[in-house]
Amino acid sequence: MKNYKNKEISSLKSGDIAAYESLFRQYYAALVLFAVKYVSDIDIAREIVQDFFVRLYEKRLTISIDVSIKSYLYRSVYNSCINYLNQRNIHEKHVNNMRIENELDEDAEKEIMTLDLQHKIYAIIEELPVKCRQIFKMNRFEGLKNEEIAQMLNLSKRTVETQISKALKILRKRLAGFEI
Amino acid sequence: MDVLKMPYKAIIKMLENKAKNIEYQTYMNQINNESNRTDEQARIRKIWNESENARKFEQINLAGDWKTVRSRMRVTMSAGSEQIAFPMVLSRIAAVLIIAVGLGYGFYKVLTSQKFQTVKIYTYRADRNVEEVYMPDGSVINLNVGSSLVYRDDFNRSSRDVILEGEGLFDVVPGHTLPFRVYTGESVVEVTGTTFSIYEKDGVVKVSVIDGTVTLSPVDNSNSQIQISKNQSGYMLANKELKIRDGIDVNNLSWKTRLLIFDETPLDSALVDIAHYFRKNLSIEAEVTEKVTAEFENQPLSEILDELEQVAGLVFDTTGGSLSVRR
Repeated sequence: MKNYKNKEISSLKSGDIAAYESLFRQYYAALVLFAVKYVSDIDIAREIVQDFFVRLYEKRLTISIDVSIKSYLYRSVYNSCINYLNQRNIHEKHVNNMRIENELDEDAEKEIMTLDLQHKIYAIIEELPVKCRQIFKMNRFEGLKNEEIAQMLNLSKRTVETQISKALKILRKRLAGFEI
Repeated sequence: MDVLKMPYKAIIKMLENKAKNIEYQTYMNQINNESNRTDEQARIRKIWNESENARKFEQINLAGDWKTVRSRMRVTMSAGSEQIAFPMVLSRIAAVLIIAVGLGYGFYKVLTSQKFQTVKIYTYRADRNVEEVYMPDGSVINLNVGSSLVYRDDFNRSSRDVILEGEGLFDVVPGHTLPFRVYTGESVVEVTGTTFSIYEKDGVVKVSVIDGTVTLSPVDNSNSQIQISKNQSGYMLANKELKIRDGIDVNNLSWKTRLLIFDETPLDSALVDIAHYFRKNLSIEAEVTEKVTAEFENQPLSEILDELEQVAGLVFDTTGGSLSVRR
């Protein structure tokens, strides 16, 4: 018996909405950003991935998944992007060289690994203490200097530095064991 | 050195190229004294750099987009209330599958609708494995082991009629001017574009629809018909009475997915699914009240029964084409 093997696939096939939402929340954002790489438009990428998740749920009983759910999701979204490009008669050179694949190429695999790491980092940042998160985002996302952040938040520069180093320490700790 | 005790302020200065010479020298001396420090430094640099790129996840509205997807999903609720008198071995088959046993009236209907002598007949048979048949119109049909499909060489020109013997999953391309008809036993299933399955045994036909809508009718009486929509199952009973119910069983297509899933499933129902999957005639000769929660993926019958023997203390006999269950 394999009660717990491929739990995500079992949950998908069971039709459990809560489990499906969890699957969506785990992979959706990274899949959209993965699709952007091919269709170059985030709104189109969102539509492609949303369509895919609707179809996946509808066809959950008939699909046969012989790889990890993660590989299956990325490969399917990749193929959906190629279908989209073909339907739009987009014939740029790079599109002509893209085919529907059962396996993703090395570049795509690297992109997925990078997105995985970025997604994990983002999730950890979102769980940082409020002030720490705010300061870290101002530094990393908005590109503000520590002096600027200190002035904007009426804090000392040292406090800002402390909060940023605290965030980095938490990231390093939480990413222990994560393939980088 | 403990990762948590590393001098992160100094590290950040290094990462931002803001370290003074003396700070840089002090730090480099530390690195040289730690065998794994260089790797650790590279790891932290990667995290630092990617934390800047993680910004792009800010533009994704996860909650809002889930609401959009959720609103478009049609959730199947288990029907559970209406029991249809179906042969035991078939009673839990649902959704998207068509099975036909016997090449009866449909065979005659399909093969003689034009000049018989000028028509070539194609036959596909799944002898050992599930077979995928690509039709001339782009439709795809999966045949379960022991099933066969027959059609004429003018398929897609004058008609889209096929005869199914056994069990099949149909993914019919939409947008075609010709309806797609499946003749099975004494029934005919007609669609324009959809995904569905049919199962027929002992005169009872079950059609399960995954996507789209199909019509089920007796082959000799098209005035009597039912429309079966997505996530519904339709039946034609042995007396040609038509029934419809909501829901698709999770193991309906286990023959294709090679996965049997049971979640607090009554053991007798689970045995029905198992018998169907392994194409055995089920005979339960003992009272079975247990429930089973398990997942069997591509496992042989003997292995599954060994597990159930241990759980329920039952004795199984798989001699011939039967699966007998005793205490």
